[in-house]
Amino acid sequence: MHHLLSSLLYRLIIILYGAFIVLTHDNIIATPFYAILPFVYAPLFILLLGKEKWKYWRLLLDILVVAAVLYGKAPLDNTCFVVALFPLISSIAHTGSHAKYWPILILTGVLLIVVDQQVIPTHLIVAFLVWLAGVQSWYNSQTNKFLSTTVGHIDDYFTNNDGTKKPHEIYKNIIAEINSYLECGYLKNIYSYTLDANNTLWLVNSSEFMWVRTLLLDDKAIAKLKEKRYLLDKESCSRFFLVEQNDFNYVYRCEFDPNYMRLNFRKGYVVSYVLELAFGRMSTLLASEYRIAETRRKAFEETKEHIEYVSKALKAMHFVRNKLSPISSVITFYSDMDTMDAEKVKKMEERVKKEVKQAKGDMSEIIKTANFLLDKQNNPYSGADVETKNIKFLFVILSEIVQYHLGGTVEVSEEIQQFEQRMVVRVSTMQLKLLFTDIVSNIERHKSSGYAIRMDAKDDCLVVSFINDIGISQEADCNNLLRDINNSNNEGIVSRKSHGVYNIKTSASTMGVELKAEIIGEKKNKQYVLRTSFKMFEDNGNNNSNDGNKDTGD
Amino acid sequence: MIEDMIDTIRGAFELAAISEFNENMSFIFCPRSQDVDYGSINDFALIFVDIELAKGSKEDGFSILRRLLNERHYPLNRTIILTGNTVVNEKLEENSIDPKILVVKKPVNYDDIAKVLKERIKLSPEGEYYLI
Repeated sequence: MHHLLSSLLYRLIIILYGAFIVLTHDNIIATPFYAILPFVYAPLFILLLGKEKWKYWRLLLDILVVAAVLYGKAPLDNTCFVVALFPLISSIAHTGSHAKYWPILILTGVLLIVVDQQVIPTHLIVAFLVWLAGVQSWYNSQTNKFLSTTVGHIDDYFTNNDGTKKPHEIYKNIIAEINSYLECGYLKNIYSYTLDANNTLWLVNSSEFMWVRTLLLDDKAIAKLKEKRYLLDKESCSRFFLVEQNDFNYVYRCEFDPNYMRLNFRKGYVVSYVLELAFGRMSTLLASEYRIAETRRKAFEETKEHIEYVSKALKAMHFVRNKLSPISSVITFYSDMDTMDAEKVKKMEERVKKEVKQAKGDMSEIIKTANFLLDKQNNPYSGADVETKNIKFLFVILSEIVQYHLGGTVEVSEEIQQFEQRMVVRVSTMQLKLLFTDIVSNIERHKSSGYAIRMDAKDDCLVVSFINDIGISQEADCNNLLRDINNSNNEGIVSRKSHGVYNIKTSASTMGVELKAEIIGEKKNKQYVLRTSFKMFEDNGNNNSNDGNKDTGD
Repeated sequence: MIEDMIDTIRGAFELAAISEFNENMSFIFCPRSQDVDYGSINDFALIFVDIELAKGSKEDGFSILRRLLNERHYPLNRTIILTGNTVVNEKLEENSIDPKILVVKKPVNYDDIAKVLKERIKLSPEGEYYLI
């Protein structure tokens, strides 16, 4: 479409400029006759429109129209000469297709010779130079096209357009692109490294698998690479590119076929230029991948801690079981004593005394083990890292959970939205997520008709209410739930079908959040309401509480 | 007794000996695999093996059981696993040990031990113990 529009505009310019020439110059035939020209030109042009292979015919038509305008105006003045160059300039405008071809230059030369009827060398030289500029711009556009497709392979990684899943697969596409430009397989492999403080190159990734993860260059080569950001190593037929990205120095090594060194200068230059820009982009990708890997490593460390804790807990339980043997023997003896004869009791009692001593020691070891498990510092799950957070942070966390589980939103009262001061709550991000997820997923599982989740301010508390409509069949269940939530001790909740009440209560009590459940409404319109109250404080500005729009730490 | 928590388990055996066998019973304890003298295993009426042994032990209970049962052909009904590990049954086959082996789980009191002993050992009218 863009192509067609520029093509039409260009023809309009030929007609207008032609009219200008006709009106300002003496003409060989009566001026009004020239008015016919556009009416011949336009239909013929439309006839030739559409097909790519007819472009030469369209160009010939342009030249014929220009010839008709110029004919009989010899010797050509400058304004006339310019219109003679129009077809040549047009081919420059349509870069990428026919600027390269000699025929246009020859036709323009023929046109000049025919209309001028005498050969003016300067005119021909100017025409040649204009053509040369066209050829140059064609090459530029080719380079830009080459550059954008090559760099495009890196962008495709982000959108996974071409199924690239691992960054190193991008190199294969880049290599294919470069080699198709060079029209042979000169580029063998691409390796990327990071340069550390000791001038060792550490492999990041590469187009082929590498067993050797480091590369050492001599100091001179490193110094040159750092200075020029480019290095040619003839011995290994490699070109090195250095890209600085944040705190990293990424170094890319391109391994070429030995024949590459004999390549013509222009192509070699273009390839280096494209590679340099592609590697600039690649470095952004590698740096972001590094950040992601870092986050994963952190998550793994956390998981590792959790796994270790669970296996420690299991080991502790085995330890407790093992240590209970003496206590069990003592108890058995005193329970069975009455059924034994006196002599046996005497003998046994003597031995049991020893066993009591053993049991005493074992018991204190059992208690020590239990204390270890109960100590919150040893428990990576306790998540007791309570921090001061803006209420917006709480809103964002809750909204994300509600959106994910229920596809719904959280209603926030006007009062909260209009708080003038920055209000904060004391929460642990992990416990907060656990608490809200447990409650919201209960709604997800058990909701009957409607639900609502609201944030209100009441006294000095931020109250988040979870309101769920109750079906008649759910009433008994809800009454149990109500009792469990409002009950101050947790006994019996762990084992029963309890809608995760134990977890909800644990998370809430860790953060000092008050839980209150009630059933409101009458008969068919009953609703189960669970309120969680967070104590609110005015932000005194001393804490680095997170805003709602900050990363929620996933 | 191939067992590392000797002090914890000794009482149950000694009390069992008093309560049911007129103290007419002796045991030896091996806390590590290298303490086991395979040449003398036939001198014992029963062998109790714990799975997890002392830190310095070269092999665990499973390896000892394999040596006893598969290499030395010590009778299966005279071998007993005594362990606090609750999932040992599931691990028997993968450790190529006959799953018919008796597994006694800790904690054990002298009464538990006495029952196991009586099930495997009988007192003859002449006052001699013999194996069933």
